[in-house]
Amino acid sequence: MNRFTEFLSSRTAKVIALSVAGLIVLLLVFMAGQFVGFHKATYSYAWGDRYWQSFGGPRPGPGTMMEGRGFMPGHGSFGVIVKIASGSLLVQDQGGAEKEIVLTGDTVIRRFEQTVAASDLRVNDQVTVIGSPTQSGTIEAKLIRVLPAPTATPQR
Amino acid sequence: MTRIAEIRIFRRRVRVASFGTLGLVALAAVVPAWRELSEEAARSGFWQYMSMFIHDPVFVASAWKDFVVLLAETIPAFGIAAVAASVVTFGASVRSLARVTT
Repeated sequence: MNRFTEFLSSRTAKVIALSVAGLIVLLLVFMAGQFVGFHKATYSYAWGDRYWQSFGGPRPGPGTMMEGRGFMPGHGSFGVIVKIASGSLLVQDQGGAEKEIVLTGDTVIRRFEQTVAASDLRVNDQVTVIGSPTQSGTIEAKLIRVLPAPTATPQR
Repeated sequence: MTRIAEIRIFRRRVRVASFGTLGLVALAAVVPAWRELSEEAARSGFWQYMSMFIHDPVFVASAWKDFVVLLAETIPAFGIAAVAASVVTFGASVRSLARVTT
């Protein structure tokens, strides 16, 4: 028993404990990366599939689908509204990808400190969206924040 | 001066030069790393999503699962790693430099 407590307070035990803790942290980071990667890849694949069905052309293969962009996040979007349809919006992000945002009865739309209706949204409004990805490559919006229009910088 | 003392001085100079150069390179790398972090965060929308939490914490809390995954999806991991690596390298080289010179 005495030797065991001696071992526990030894340098070797500390090194072993730190190594195990480091391995656990690495494992958790790896699992988190795997989880996030899976979500992004699933959404991006569904988005690509939808895009291909809408616009046709040769179906892009793996790796060429998101050329130069990497996979897209499926739990939200930010950009400019380019189209408003009944119950959905088309938001174009900074990279040019257009994501369809589906509005439900539970979707909350905020402009400054107020909650507004979907009918108050306009084309060219800058929005940030949080929602859930669907299997059809759309995002079911839970919260939409309308951002103030960017102020024009004076030209010299 | 003995030969051993000369070798020690030479080694010390080499270490000072090495750690000094490494520290300077790491310090210089902080600026582009920080720029990359800012650009990556702006491109992915990370700041916009974070600002949503600041403006609408109650509404964001009601969709916290999606929000957490969204932050994980858009976190500028490369930029954070680059900034952290350059800062840690700079700190380590300064520490080593202090050990060599004292």
